[in-house]
Amino acid sequence: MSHTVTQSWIRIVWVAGALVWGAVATAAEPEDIIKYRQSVMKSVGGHMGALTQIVRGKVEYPDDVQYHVESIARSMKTVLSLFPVDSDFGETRALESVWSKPDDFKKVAEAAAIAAGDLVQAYSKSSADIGEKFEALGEACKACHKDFREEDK
Amino acid sequence: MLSPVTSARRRLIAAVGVVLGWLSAGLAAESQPDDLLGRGEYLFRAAGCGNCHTDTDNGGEFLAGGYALDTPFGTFYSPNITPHSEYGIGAWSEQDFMRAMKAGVAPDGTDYFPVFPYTSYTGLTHGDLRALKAYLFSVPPVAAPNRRHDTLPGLRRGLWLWKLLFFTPKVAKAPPDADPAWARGAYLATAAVHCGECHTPRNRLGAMIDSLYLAGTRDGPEGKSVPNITPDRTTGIGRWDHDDLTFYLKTGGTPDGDYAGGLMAEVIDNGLKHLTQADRAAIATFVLSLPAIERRVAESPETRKPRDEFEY
Repeated sequence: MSHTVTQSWIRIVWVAGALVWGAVATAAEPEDIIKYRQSVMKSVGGHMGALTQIVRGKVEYPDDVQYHVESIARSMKTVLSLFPVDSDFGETRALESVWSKPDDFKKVAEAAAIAAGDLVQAYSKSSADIGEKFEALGEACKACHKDFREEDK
Repeated sequence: MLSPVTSARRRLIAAVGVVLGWLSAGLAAESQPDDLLGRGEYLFRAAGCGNCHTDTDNGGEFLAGGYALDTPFGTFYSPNITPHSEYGIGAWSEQDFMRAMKAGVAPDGTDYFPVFPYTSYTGLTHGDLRALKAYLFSVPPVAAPNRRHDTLPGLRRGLWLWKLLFFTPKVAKAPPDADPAWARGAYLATAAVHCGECHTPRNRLGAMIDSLYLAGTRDGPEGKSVPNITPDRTTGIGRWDHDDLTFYLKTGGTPDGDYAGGLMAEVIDNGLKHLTQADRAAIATFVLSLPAIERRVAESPETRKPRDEFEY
C-alpha cells in the first residue's frame, strides 16, 4: 500500500514538474513579444506604404496588389494576440490604454481587421477599384494609433 | 465734365470689375462654402478650435471647455466658447471677439495667456473671424463654468511684458507677387491651422523661436515630442513630395505606410480632412517651400530611429 502511495506521489511530482517546465519553456518573454509585435506591425506598414504608391498611381505593380492586401489582412486578423498583458513596458510605443481600456482597444483593432478584410474582398471583386476601401483601412489604422499608440518618442 | 470716351471706358472698367468679382466669387465658392455659417464652420475646422475647447476624453460637451493643457508654466483649462450668455461667449460683441482673437485681450481687458494661440489667429482676416463668430454662436449653449488656470504664481502679472516682447498683432498679407496657392497655404498654415504652435520649438519664456519655424520640439503639448516638418531630408520631411504631404494631410498616411496617431490624428480627423483638396495642396505648397532646418528632435541620435523607420 505504502508502495503505491509513494508511486503516486512520484507520478504527481513528475507531472507537476513537467507542467511547470512546459509553462516556462513556452511562455515567451515580454521583450520578445514586443519585438515580434513591432516586426509584424512594421511589415503591415511596409505593405501599406507599398500600396499607397500603387493606389495613388505613382508606380505600376498591379500584380503585387493581391499579395499586399492579403498580407495585411492576415496580420490584422490576429493583431489582438500581439498585445498580451505584461507586454506593456520597455521599448514600446503601445500606450497604457491598450490594457486599461481593453474593450475600446478591441473595438478599434477588430475594426481594422474588418477593414483589411473588406479591402481583400474589394480587390477580389474588382482589382482596379480598391481606392475607397484602402482609404477606409487607413482611417482604421489612424483610429487605433490615435488613442493607443504614443506619437513619437 | 466727362468726355463720352472716358465714361465709356469707366463703364467698361466697371463691367470688367463686376465680371472679375463674379469670377473670384465663383473660385471662392469652389474652395470653401460661401454662406457665413458654412464659411465659419470651415474656418472652425481648419483652426481646430474643438480640439482644445472640448474635453473629449472626459465626456465634456462640445466647446464647453475644461480640457487640461499641461505646460511648463502650469495647467491651463480651456474656457467655454459656446454661446452661453453667462458661462460662454454669448454676451460678446463682434468687437470683443475680434479683440480676443487678434489681440489676445479678453472683454474685461485682461490679457490671455498665449496657450490660446492668438499669436497665430492674429493673422486671420476680419471676414473669416466674422464667419467664425457666426458659427460659434450657432452651436448649443452649455452652462458650464470655466475652471481657473493652475499656473505658476505671478505668471499673470508678467503677461503684459511677455506680450510686449513676443507678440505683434498682424494682418495676414502675402507678398503681392506671391503665387496664389502659396499665399493661401501660408494663410491657412500660419493663421488658421497654426501648425507652428506645436511644431515650432519655444524659448524659455514659452515664445516660439521664429528662426526654427516648424523644426520640431521635444516639449510639445502633453509633454510629447513633435516632429520637425521642415523639408530637411534627414531630420524633417524633405523626402516627401507635394503629393505625399497633401495625401498625409487628408489621410494621416505617410509615404512609408505609417499612420498618424495622437494629437495629429485629431487635427486631421476634426479638421484637415474636411478642407478642400485645393486647400490641403496649398498648405503642402507652403510647408515644402520653407527653409530646410536640420534638427533632430529625439533625445539623442542613438535613441532616434531614422525617419523612414517606425516603431509600434
